[in-house]
Parts: sequence; C-alpha cells; structure tokens
Amino acid sequence: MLSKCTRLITLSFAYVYLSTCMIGDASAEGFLNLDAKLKYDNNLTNAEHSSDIVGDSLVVAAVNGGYYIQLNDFDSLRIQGELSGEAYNTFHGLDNVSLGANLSLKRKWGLGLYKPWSALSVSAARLDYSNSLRDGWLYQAQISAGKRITERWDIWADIALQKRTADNAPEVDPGVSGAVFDLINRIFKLDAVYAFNDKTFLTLGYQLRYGDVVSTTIHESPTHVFDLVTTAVALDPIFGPEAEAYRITGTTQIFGARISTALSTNSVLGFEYQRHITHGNGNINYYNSTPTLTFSYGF
Amino acid sequence: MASQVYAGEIRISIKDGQGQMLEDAVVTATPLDSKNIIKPKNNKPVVDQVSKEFLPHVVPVYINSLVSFPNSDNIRHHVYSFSPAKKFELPLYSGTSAAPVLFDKPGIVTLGCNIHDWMLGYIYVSETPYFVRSEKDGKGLIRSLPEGEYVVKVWHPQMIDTEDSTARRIAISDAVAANLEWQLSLKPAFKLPRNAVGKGFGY
Repeated sequence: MLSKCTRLITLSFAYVYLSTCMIGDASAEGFLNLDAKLKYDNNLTNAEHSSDIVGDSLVVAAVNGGYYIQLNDFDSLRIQGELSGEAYNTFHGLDNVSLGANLSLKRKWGLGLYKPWSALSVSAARLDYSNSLRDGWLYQAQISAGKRITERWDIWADIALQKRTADNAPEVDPGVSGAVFDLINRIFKLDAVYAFNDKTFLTLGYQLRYGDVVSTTIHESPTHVFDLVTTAVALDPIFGPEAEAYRITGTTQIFGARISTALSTNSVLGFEYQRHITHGNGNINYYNSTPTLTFSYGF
Repeated sequence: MASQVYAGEIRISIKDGQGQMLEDAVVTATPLDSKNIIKPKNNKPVVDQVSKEFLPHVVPVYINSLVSFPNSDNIRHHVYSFSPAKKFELPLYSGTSAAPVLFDKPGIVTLGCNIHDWMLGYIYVSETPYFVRSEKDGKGLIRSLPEGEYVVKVWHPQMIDTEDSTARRIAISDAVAANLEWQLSLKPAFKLPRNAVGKGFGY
C-alpha cells in the first residue's frame, strides 16, 4: 500500500511540474485546493437486510490543482489533477488512494452574468485500495449545462457516462463473472445553489443513476435471490470470511443538501447530508445515509 | 475673459443606517448657475482590475471623460456593461491594451467581467465636475467651488432611497467650508460568491 502511495504521489508531483512547464502565460490561471471530509456511511455494504448492514466513518483528504485557461472570449479549458485518500475507522480494507485527471471544455453562451453555459468533460482516475478487489480505473464523460437564474440562485445539470474497470476478477461461481467492480452507470444530476449572502450557501442536489451497483452480503443469503439477478459475484473479505459482493443492475436516486459558509476568502466549512435510495433487480432495495462535514481551502 | 472666483469647499460625511461611516458614496454638487461649471483639466479617470476586483469599486467621473481600464492582474479580463448610460465591451485583454472608453451620458454604469462573474464595479457619470467619493472613514472633500448656489446629492450602490431624496441646497461663499452629513438607509450588501471551493457535490 505504501509503495503504491509513493508512486501515486510521485506521479502527481510530476503532473503538476509538467503542467507548470507547459502553461505559463497570462491566459492560464492556476488553482490549488485542499479538501478534508469527515463522513459516515450507515450502509457501506449497500445491503438490504439488517444483518448485512454495516456502517463506518471515514476521513477523506484530497488535493486538486491545475490550470484554468481562457481560450477566447467565451471558451475556457480546465485541466485538473486530483490526489485523494480515504481512511476508514473500522474497515481498513476500504482505505484507498486515487489519482485522477480531468479535462473540461466550457462555453459561456454570451455576455453577462445570466447567460447560460455548457461544458464537456472527461476524467480518468486510478483507484488503489488496501484490499485489491476494488482496485481499478474510473472513467467518466460528462456533458453539463447551467445558468444563473437570479443574483442568488444558480442551477446546473449534468449527464454522465461512468465506467469503472476492476483489475481483479477472481471467479467464485463457475460460469459467473468475478468482475464485480466492472461497472457502467448512466448518471443524471441536477444541482441548485442559493446564496444567502456572499459567504453562506445552500446547495440542493438530485442524482439519478442507472446501471450497475454492488451489494455485499455478510452472511449467506437465505433466499438466494442474488443468484437469480447477479451479473457478477466475488468474495469480499473486507466484511468477513463469508461475505460476498454481488453486482446487480439497479437505479439509485440520491437526494442531497449542504449548507456551507466561507470562513475566509480561501476557506469554506460545510455540512452535507445525502440520502441514497437504490432499487435493484430482483426487488433488492437498500438505502444509505451519509452525513459529511467538509472543509475546503483554496490557494 | 472673466476670471472665476474659487470660493469654497464642501466637507462631507456619510453614515449608514447603523451610524457606521460609509465608503463609496458619491456626493455631487451641481451649481444652479451653469456658468459655474468649469471643465476639469488633466481628467484621466482609471478603473483598475486588481486581484480579480474592480478598483476602486466606485469611480465618479465627469461627463465626456475617457476612462481607462488597465488590467493589473496577470490573467485576462473581459469587461462589459449593459447600463443605459453606457453599453460597452472590452474583449479579453491583459495589461493596458484596452482603449479608453468615452462616457458621454450621465448616469450609473455597472461594470462586470464575463470571466469572473463576482467582479462588480460602478462608474458614476456626473453632469457636474464637482464631486467626491467617500473614503473608508465616510469623509470626502469637494474643493475649488466657485461662489454660488448648489444642489448637493448623494448616491451609493446600496441606497434604498433615491438620489433626489438626498438633495440639499447650499450657498457657497468666499472662504467658507460647508459641512454636510447624510445618513443613508442601505439594502443588505450582496456580492456573488467568489469562492467556488466545494461548490458541487462530490458524488
């Protein structure tokens, strides 16, 4: 794990160095942000039955930076790299480090505060977990559009296609794929921000995801319902010796709200709450609640 | 050629509704006798862009002034205004490459930057050359006023009442400094958030 972290950190520094060499004129604006989160997920296993449900708290630390390049009067390009890590309180097998890059091309459709904008972005991230079952890559292509409605209300929507590939696909059941974390999802997001003043904001978010979800059973399922609907299965030792992770097709709705306040011109403190509601094939339904305390610092 | 008698000055003091000294109020003194309007010399007003803000936030200028918009940031800005008093656009530029803009109609010109939406500034285009912007201590001084009668008014970006409601008539005579004070009721200050850190959800 440590050697992986070292490699990732070295790569991230190399990325920042190369970016600095490539872009340095007045059209490029550098940015660097630090994020820290304290989060709790009451259903880490994405499980339906109470005997399979476990929760845990985690600490998230991330640094992202890059360049914002104004290409012409209305088009801009953002090149961003991010290094982040998650450390769980109990389930250390979920501890992970990720290194990713994002490229986003944005157009503002006219002159003025209330003109709409649209953006096309692609990203890729390497995921490295303590337990290698979840190691892999995460790719995303996204189309976004937004508009400031009033001085205080700002809204935007995203449509994304997300693909995650797993390095490891150990087959448990003959004839059934072991690539539980090979996932494809189609995502629709809608966000709105209300500014109470120039320091305090309320963000409301809705997300609809359709595609693959992973649900883990800690104990053998008495109904064997997963056997009928799963598209992949693997042992998931993070949650116990009998735990099995199943990939099924499902729809997840996420409702979120966050209140955040600027502590200074550089820092923002926030609290957010998300409720995830997932309906999977085979009438497998599960729910997650994730309260999160966030702190961001922008240089 | 008739010689003008420069008689006096007006010392102003502006407070907000809570009694705090108020910056960025523009006080104008308009002579009732238009012969007392003397065109200012070496009038080269500047609205700079520093750390992604317009500086000063409020700039009073005399009508038909050419205003320069240097960009002191090391990034480019795209300055514009939709205000009836002056619609203009300075496409993406850096340094001092933008040509000065002529402000030939009286009124308030609201400035924005199309790249950095939170940037907000005001140019007050005055029909009289006698004006001042209040400093941080809420004070200002209008100098070199010819002898005569004036209507003095106050404007501030956040004021609730109209500029006309602040009007006072005052006579300026030889070597007399007038002291005028106003207390303005203001709308709550609101500025677009500059800090986009943590804006979206990290789903």
